Amino acid sequence: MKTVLLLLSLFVFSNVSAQPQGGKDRGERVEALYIAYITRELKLTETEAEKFWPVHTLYDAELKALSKNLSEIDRLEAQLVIKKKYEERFSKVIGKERTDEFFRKDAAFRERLIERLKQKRGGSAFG
Amino acid sequence: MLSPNDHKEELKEIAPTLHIIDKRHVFSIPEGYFDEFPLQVLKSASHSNGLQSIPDGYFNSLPQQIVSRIQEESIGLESNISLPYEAPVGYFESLPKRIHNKVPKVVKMPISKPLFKYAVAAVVTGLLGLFLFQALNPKNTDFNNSELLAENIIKTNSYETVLESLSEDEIVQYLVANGEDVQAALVGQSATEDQLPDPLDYIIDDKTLDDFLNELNLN
Repeated sequence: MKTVLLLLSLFVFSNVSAQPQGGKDRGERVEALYIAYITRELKLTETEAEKFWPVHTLYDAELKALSKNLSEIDRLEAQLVIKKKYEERFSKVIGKERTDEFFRKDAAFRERLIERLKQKRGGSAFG
Repeated sequence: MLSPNDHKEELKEIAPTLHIIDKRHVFSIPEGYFDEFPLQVLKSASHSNGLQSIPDGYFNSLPQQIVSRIQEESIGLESNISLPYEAPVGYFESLPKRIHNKVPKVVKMPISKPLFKYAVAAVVTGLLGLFLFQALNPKNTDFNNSELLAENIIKTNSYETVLESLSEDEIVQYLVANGEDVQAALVGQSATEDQLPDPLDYIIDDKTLDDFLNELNLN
């Protein structure tokens, strides 16, 4: 019995300690900001959001899975292939026009982040 | 297929004697032969086998005759035939009770211990399952947390506030994770058209480009 309790305690401890220390470290706040931004800009309804974000999760995973060793041109080309692949899937959920808008807003969000980063570094590109 | 005439010719060649015999019934039966046939069979059978008639009541006394014959011929047997084994009076009535008494008592197992073990096993399995689910689906957990935060941002309309509160690390981490070359993007954004030197400046001063790059901190 003591062995079981010991194992249980160790397991619970390891499980708790394996949890991330907070959303801040994992970029969850930026991710949340992105979701809020896209939801607001595209005016996604609850029903649309339920269908849109699972597709987006797959889209995002494919983009992130691109090899870091690709040259800039190859990376852009691979990103374009993935975007074209998902254009149809997004269109089925939110229509073609709003899909175009999504790609524009997706890029705009990054630009805003870069702009914010630049401001934080006092206007210098390298801080 | 062969015609009847062909058959005849073939039979003539194979068996000339058989070919000569006319095609007709060889045997003839007297009129009413089969009507009397069963009686004739019975008569002939009784005469040939010499069957005897059975005396009246023969089979009624047959068992007694057999038993008396056995008694006469058996050596050492008593006059009354009896079974070799006898069951005491009321033997079978009390048999179930006696068997029940002879069976060893069944030891009842305590129920609480196995139940506790099962409960512990279930808890351990559940925790293990939860741990594995979380370990194998970090993306889901991340997304769920982000989704909750996003809902809060939308409800409180605090988009700009949260954007301003982001740290450099958070922004850089996000951009890098999304395949963005942060340095190049910063330079690109810095070098907007209105910030670029006038084309004439390049002609007037050779150091225009160097100066501009110095401004961007690239040197």
